Amino acid sequence: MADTPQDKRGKEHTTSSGIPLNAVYTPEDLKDGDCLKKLGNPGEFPYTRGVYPEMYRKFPWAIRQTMGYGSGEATAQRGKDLLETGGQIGYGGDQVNSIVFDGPTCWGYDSDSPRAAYQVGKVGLPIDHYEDFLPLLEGYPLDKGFTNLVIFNPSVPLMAMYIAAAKKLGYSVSSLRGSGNNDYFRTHICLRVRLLKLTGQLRLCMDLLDYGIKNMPNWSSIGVSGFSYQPSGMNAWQSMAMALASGFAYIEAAADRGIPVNDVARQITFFIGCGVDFLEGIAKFRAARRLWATTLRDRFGVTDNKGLQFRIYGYTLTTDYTAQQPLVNIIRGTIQGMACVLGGVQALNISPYDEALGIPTTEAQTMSIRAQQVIAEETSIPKVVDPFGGSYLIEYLTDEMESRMNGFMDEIKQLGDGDSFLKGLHTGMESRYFDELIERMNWDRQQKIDNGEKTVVGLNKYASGDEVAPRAFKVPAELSMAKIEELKKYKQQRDKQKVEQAINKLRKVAESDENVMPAAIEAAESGVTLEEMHRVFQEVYGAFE
Amino acid sequence: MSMKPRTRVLLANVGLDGHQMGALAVARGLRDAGFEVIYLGLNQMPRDVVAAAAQEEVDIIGISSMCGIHLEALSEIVALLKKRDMQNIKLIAGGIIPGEDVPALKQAGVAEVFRPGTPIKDIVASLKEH
Repeated sequence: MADTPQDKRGKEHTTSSGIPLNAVYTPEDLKDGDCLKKLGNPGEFPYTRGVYPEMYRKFPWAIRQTMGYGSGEATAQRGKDLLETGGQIGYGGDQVNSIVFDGPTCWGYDSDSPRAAYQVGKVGLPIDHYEDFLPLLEGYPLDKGFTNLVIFNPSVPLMAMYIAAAKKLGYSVSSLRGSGNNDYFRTHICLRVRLLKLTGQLRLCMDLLDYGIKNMPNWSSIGVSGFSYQPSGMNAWQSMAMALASGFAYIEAAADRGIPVNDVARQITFFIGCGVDFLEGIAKFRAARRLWATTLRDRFGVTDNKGLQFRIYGYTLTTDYTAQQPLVNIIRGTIQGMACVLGGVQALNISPYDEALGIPTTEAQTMSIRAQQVIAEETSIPKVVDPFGGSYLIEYLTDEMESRMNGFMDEIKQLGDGDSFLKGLHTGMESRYFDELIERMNWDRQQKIDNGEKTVVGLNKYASGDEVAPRAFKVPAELSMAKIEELKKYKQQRDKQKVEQAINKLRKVAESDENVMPAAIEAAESGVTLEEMHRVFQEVYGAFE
Repeated sequence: MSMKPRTRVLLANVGLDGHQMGALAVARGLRDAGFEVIYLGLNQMPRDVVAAAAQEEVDIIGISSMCGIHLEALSEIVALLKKRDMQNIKLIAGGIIPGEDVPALKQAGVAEVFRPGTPIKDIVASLKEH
């Protein structure tokens, strides 16, 4: 259909990620006449329209805001406060949580390390030893609901401590419900936590996966984070392509180890971002579900339905937010959240409006929960599965997204041997290919904002001198000091011989082909600290250079 | 062609945190504008920043704090600069810094604070005046 694609400035209309947009879409724009066949029904292969047949008609998505700071007690209290708002509720009405850890914990340092100075508990929960988990977990039913742990790689030490704490509280390991990231591609590329050589990261990631398959049927041992690529600088379809490629790479790696693909696929879930570009956001989720199911079945031979279902924890894109006029971020978060819901996510975090000021206040978290509650209970959106399905535009965008994701995944494979996702990703990481791509894309984005080509309301347009400045959340210094003191006492009081034995055992197992998890859990239970465990892995596997 | 030596800037991210896109963009913008930029990278401790600044004989130190430790880390840097008689070096900061903390930072000795959203060209212009 003929139209004028140029706007006033003579530029083509596109989505944020560059997909061209016509003035209007009609049935002629659908490439395949047999639209329904390609889509499938919700809850049926290839799941384009949703992983479950009834989606939110049966249960709403889980309102799962990420949180954590200061101490187990402080984080537990924040969890209680959010529960009182009606948030942090998942399928079946049980409590859900998503926990972040502080800088030292993420980077493998204990609270008393000089490198941890000023940072203990500042941006997340500090964990030095397994008992640090107890005040947080005591109040929660770990065998109901869902607990997501935002764990950077290597994830083994922190996961071992979580398991040790759960066991101390009387839970069986097999009853634990939740997920932990354990995604060393995004840990390395986006978070730039590069503690081990990639061979070591892969070994530990697979040990955790294998342990999870055998012992934790209700736990997702690999929560692939496609989210992080977007704030780093990649666009919507590049980020999703990285997530998909990562998932495929983990399946390749597991197959290399002789783990049946049907056992692996169901252990993988996804943590995916969504920007304020509403239309392409919805299309992105739909395309991803179709690509995941199709590739898993046709390339890897997966037949397990749960494994074929691309299950999503939606997380709204923080880099769309501004420090200026921060209340405007409530509007952005709501639009992003709606795109996630219309895109069929299983759980959702709407990033709080004070994101650019610091970690969230309870008020900001509550506003994010309220936005989700309005979508869930005041609109008709949850009453229909895949409401935008069949829209000429959305089906066009879904196909475009799928084609671009495939193209980017081909580029990834070309970095290696042209066929393996694992080799492509590894080569990209070692050669700094992804670092350079991210840097370039981030610079381009910054230039477009600085020269006004990309409008950011309140920042480069409609800026105002006077603004409502919500208070920034500050973690009380006493909490940091208390944690450091507690660790000093803990190290004095623990059985030093037992600790040394456990460390030696862990090192021996790490050097062998035996799965490290049992030894890691035993080490945690013996009082070995996080940094001590990380040291063992750094010694055995070597640091990334 | 200017006979003036190029202004030397040391940039660093403090704290255990991987968010360096802001610092990288500033580094590039300054280089494009003719500054001599040394980017130390992530996870720098205050004493290492000051040691590098001395070794590289820089005119400006730019600190990116993305994990909420701006007040503590910058105060420590100011104290170290004083101790080593390096107060001629201009200290600037950026990152996740709420507006309410800017007065305290300036009082502590930080010359300029560039909060999120500051256009790169504004940072360049501000440093060119130095």
